[in-house]
Amino acid sequence: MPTTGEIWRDRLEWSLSISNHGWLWTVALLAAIAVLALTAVNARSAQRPLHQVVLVALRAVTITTLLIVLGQPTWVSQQARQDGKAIAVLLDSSASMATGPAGKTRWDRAVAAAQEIMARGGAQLWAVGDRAQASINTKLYTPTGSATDLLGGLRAVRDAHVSDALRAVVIVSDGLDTAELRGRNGPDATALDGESADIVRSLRAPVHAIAIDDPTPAMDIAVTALRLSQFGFARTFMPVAVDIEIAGAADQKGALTLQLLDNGKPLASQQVPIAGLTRRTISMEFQPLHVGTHVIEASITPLPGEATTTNNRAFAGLSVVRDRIRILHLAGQPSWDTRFLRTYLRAAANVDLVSFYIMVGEGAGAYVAGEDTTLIPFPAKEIFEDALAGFDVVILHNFPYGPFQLEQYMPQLSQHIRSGGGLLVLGGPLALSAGGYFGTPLADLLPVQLGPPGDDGGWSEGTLAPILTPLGNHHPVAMLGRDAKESEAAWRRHSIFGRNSGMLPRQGTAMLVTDAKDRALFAVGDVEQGRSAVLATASLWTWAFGADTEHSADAGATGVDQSERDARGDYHRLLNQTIAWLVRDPDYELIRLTPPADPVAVGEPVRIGVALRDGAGEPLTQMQLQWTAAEPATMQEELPVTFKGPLTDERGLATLELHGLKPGAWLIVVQVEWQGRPQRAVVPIVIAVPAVETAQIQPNDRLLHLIAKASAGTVWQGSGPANGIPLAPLDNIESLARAELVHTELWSRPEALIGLLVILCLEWVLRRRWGLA
Amino acid sequence: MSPWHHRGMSPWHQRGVALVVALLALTAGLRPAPATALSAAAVQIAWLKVNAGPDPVSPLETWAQEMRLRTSVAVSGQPVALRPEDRAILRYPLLYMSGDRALSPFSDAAIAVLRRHFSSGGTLIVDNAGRAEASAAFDASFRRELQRIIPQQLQKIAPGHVVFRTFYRLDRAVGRRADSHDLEGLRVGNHYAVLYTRNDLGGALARQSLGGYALAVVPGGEMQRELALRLAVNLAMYALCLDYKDDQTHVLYLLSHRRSASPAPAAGREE
Repeated sequence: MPTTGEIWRDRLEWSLSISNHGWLWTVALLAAIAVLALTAVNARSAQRPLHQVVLVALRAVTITTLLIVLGQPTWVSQQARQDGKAIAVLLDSSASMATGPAGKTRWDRAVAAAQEIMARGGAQLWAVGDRAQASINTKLYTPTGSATDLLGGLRAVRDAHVSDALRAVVIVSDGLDTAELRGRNGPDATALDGESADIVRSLRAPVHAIAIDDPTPAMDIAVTALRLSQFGFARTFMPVAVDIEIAGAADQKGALTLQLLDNGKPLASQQVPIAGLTRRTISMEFQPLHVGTHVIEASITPLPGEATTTNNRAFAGLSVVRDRIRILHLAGQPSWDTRFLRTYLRAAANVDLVSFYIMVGEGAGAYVAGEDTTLIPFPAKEIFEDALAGFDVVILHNFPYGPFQLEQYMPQLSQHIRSGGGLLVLGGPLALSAGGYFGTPLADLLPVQLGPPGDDGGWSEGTLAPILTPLGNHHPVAMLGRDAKESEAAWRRHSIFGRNSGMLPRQGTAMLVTDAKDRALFAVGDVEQGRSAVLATASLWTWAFGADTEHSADAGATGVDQSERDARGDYHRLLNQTIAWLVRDPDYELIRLTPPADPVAVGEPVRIGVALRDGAGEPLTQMQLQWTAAEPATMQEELPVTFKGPLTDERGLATLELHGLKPGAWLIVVQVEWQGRPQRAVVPIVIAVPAVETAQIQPNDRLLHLIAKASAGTVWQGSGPANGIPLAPLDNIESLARAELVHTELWSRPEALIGLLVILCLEWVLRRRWGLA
Repeated sequence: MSPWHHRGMSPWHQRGVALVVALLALTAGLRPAPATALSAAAVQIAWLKVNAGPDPVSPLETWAQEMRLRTSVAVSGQPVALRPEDRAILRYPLLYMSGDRALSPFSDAAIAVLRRHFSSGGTLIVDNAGRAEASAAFDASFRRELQRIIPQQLQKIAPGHVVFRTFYRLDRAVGRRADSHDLEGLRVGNHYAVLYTRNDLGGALARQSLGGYALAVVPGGEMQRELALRLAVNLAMYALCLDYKDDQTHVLYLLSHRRSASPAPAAGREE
């Protein structure tokens, strides 16, 4: 027998079927009549008429029972289950439904319309946003879906009603589908596409819609698309297209401010006149300055009274790689140090070099006058105002502070370095304290503290041995061997000829090489987002020329010996590492972070891979990670690191898992303590916002009409019909129910056999008592 | 007699000059500088002492003086004299060799040292100091020895090459003489490791003990001497800057094209 549950109210129908074998039934009926006739004749010998009737009746019952058994009667139970909630109400719960003033949002009006239907009973409520959810409580629900997938909702309803029938489906929505349905049915579609129509029809019920419109057209400005390549080259301009749509602002005047931001920092802005604007694509360009993951944001300043401001911003991820390292080499005078550095940089395939040397000294006067020379004025303005941002590294090579307008352009240089540029100061008699750096803003950018020039004027001649500090022995910049021992040996084979004096260590920077008296020779440090390095000598060229090695003057006459090759290799390696570190080449970073490749959806955890390796590439194990998240626009140099992360494993790896970040762009700061010093790395991530859902905010019932048309449904505006939702006929239900039959064979039941035996026995007993044979 | 002997100079004057030069040589100590004395921040022009002519003390001093006067380069005023086989050569990227007679064959050690000097990026300026004309004996022997160091032929350097405008704009190369307006050179890698002038450049730079120029410059007189001085400046600046002026000519173009995704166009090269 069919069962009934809390949901189902079963209706049972009985039918009796008898096997239809024509000749057999004829014979059986004739035999039954014959037997009954013989019984009647035989009963006539009974003494009383009552006895005769009883005996004939008993025989008739026996024959009837046998005929019934012969007919094999079966009870068939048809389980026609009828769903008590045969109307499915799909309530659009996407973010666009939150549009409108408090208490009168589209969501509020949609809920009211849905509740009217629910009040009539027999309906089940679904929420449909980026996914469908059954039996929601509207009081506890807020429309935050990142998309509107009406077709997905219909599929979900259909799948939930495979074995039962629906009487109707009602969609309550603003019609702003952002998923499959819209993609399949463009603006010119007059009927649903085949696959969508199949899904609608598979519901076997009319699909109605209540279109939720706005009482007054909503004013809204939307960044509907931010289009740019996913990959770009550092310091190379990239084109960007920003699609803007504006509605309900016909009477507005003035201009919109469209701003482009890179990790929250303004890149470019443009004024867009509002008058006559409905849809427009704005072309802009920007220059990503740094290698790595960037979050590019297009943002329009909201106007008062906008329906929603969530669509005023759009984000796009950008992976920036470096094609070439762009170096600006400024030298205070030509020297062998500039000569060999230039040779190295010109030969480096990944370096794009612009050089400017100060060629003429004070007092040259008439010797360099006129057009006899090829000298040109130092293009300070062009360099520091116009072109500085295009360089990854600025090298001040024995360059004096005073004579060449450095002071005038220090704000630009300082800003450039602090915002991510690299500064390499190479020493000499014209540099550092000897070059007038003491007490200037330039000194603030250096990883050493400068004192005033002493008795030696800030420069002292003489030969000294460079000594690698314990930190330098593991630092990716100063390591010149495969391990600390090799590196130490490499530094020992070199000499330094002349050095800048008057330098002291600066708090928070890394002193890598000193002389025997712990006086600074080579130091590096961070300058906010940028980096700087100081090498306080002008004799590094002797490494390249092989002039400083102990054996170079005494080796055999056969030419290049190993020490000379090593010296040249050390020169190349030291410069290569220094420049790579200055431009934050990931291969030279102690902390290497791997952010998610794509924007992370709201509510999903953010997983950031962390790898720690020292300068020799050895994994740093059991290191305690700390982290924090900052909004890019408010990122400060000394951001407090507040959360404890995991320890690195034996491979120096760990995974940071961050929860609860709000939509938008974030900078994740990861820090470890290494060699007693904090080391930090920053990586940008983006938490996806439902930009697509709210990109176009004006209600549009076009798709609702197409759905209704495909299933003979109806579209109402604002609320359903007063006399209830039209339902599908019951035929549909019966056709679905026929498959569910339960057969119960009555003839083979023991009660029938026992009853037959009882009748036969009774007849036999009566016959004996009444004296019949 | 000195090759930069003034034609009108009396024997007394000649002896006087010789004496002063000898005294200067002794007092100034024309010796290979010890390693500890290397002043890496300053440029020193080292004299390659090959005993094929007079000691060019005075010309090298003038050369250094003119470099200091006209350019920003810090040039050490005290020349250094080194034998070809002296490995201390490898501390001096700029060498100067002059001669007015045949060179003695270099030893194998000298060949190796000079070969390494060139391959390491050093520059040798060779000056044919023949008296009335370029010394054929020096020329032939120098080319022979150069072949032993780098088995290539010297080639004429085009007038538009950066060496002619690395500081001054020059359209020819002259010295005390102006027999040939050409420079010859031998390339190693991307630079001319050897620059050869046949016009007795050192003769135009030589000074008397009291400061005046020691030798007359023919046929152009003092104007030609000025051109010779400018050539000397250019040669040293080429050794220091290589093709910098090729880039520097285009520096404004390069700066204005920082926006380009592609590398900046290669600066024009004349050779």
